[in-house]
Amino acid sequence: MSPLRLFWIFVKVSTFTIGGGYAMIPVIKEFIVDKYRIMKEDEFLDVIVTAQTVPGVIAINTAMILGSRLAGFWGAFFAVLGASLTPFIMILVIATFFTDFVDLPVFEGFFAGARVGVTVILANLSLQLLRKSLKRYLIIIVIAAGTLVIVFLNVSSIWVLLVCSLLIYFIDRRSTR
Amino acid sequence: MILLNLFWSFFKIGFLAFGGGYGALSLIQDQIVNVNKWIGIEEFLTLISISQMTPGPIAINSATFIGYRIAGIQGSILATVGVVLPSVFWIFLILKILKILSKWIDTAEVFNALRLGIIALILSATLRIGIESINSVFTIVTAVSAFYILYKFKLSVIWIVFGTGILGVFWSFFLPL
Repeated sequence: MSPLRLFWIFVKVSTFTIGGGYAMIPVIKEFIVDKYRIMKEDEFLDVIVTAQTVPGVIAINTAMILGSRLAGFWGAFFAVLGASLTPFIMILVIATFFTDFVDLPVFEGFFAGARVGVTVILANLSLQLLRKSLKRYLIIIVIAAGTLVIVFLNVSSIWVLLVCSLLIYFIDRRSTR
Repeated sequence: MILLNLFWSFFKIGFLAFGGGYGALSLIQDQIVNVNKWIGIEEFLTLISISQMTPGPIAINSATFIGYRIAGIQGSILATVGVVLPSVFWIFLILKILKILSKWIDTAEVFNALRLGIIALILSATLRIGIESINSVFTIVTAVSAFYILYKFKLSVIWIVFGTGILGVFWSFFLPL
């Protein structure tokens, strides 16, 4: 994959990442896994997981790992450039001309609506990922518990990721033995 | 001097931000409101709502915004580069560590568990955005029909986000909040 195509993919990804970093996961997956088929779903998830385990802006971490895997140094460079360009330009325009735009009903309406769309594409992705383990009740319980702990107890997601994965690791080992 | 300070403050934010945007929020507030007094708490809250309504990671949005406010275009570029740069170090480090680890343990098995654990994080993001954005008859109808269209017609996720955004503009005209 050419670095310039990666650049363009990440421009599109960052433009539609509204309401938090997780919204970008279904968008990147659609391009990299479903449309261009340059990565398998598992490989892609490994990238997402790796990007979460270290500090830094997660969208940037993801762009950097994906870019370097797919097209080396320049791949990483252009993926990161693409991922930061739209947010950079938008904020620049807002900071220059109108900080008050948040109060305009048109913008308020658009982003309120878009967040509903983001919920839908995230829910769809979650279902796709859960499909393979639907019959493994213990694992479903661990995932559900982890989800609730993050949302309602405000525990940092990195700890939940580690604890849940550890539990799943042992459940896996026990069942394969 | 102010440019160097901008770069350094946002470099620290990027270097220490763990667990993505909202985890980094207190770090950002500490650096730009408490330590450097670049903006007051009121303007910081405006910055957060701008970030939520525009594409892109919150750390990048605040870097661009504060950088521009303090030192114009130059400042916005330096602050943004500052917050992105630490990812180079962290990603390099984690990829090296993974390479070394793979000689000693079966990382494939560990990643199998992590791939399932990450579903809890994606689900929690889904729930958080969903609870906050799906809160009326209109939004429920939009969400259900968007999900149906995505599932049935395999429409691109980008069009789902864009389409629900346009619907949001319509509500804002017909349903004065």
